Amino acid sequence: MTTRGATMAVFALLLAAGIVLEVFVRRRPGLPTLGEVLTRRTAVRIGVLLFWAFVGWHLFVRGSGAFE
Amino acid sequence: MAKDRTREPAGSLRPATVVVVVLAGVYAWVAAGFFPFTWPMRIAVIIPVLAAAVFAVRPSRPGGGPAPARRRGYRRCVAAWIALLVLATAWELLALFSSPRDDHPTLSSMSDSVMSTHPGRALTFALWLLVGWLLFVRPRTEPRS
Repeated sequence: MTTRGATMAVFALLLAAGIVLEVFVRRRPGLPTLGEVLTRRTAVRIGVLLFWAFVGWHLFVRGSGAFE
Repeated sequence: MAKDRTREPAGSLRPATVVVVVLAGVYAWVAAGFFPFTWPMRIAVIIPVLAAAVFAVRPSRPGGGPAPARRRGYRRCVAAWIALLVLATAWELLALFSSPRDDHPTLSSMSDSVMSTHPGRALTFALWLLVGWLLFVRPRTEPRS
């Protein structure tokens, strides 16, 4: 496997783990979803908002991939 | 008897939700047509950020948290989420500070190929809006105990 393939495989593995955990907690009442963990406290929620805003700005306003 | 609004059952799509989804799709399609580094693109990103900020600063709904019997499982679950986020962040940073970029792609460099077409860019924008809606706009509720 190439370095590129390994890098992408780890990202895919982490995404798959997140999906599995999200499905698992949604079937078990009382366990928090990712969204509940990230938005439970106001300070954390505002931090997540800033990160989400940064992602949008980075991808769409300063993105390099548009219409190449 | 109080209605359990913690997590809506699957298939409970309300008309208002359908309208929001359609409007968000149209918005994403239009926004995807703007070029980076232009004011229309900046404004298209700023508008949803400001809307999400209004919802994000609402105070949390008071609640008692998980029942004692579930506290252990709850904490383990929070720890699992944090571990996943830390791992993902560490891997992204490792890729970011490694070179060449072709061998060590970051999430944004991988997204470049998807975002090089209007539909791909619109889909990415819609996904970004969806994440914001799920995190900040959808009514927040306490986990069921």
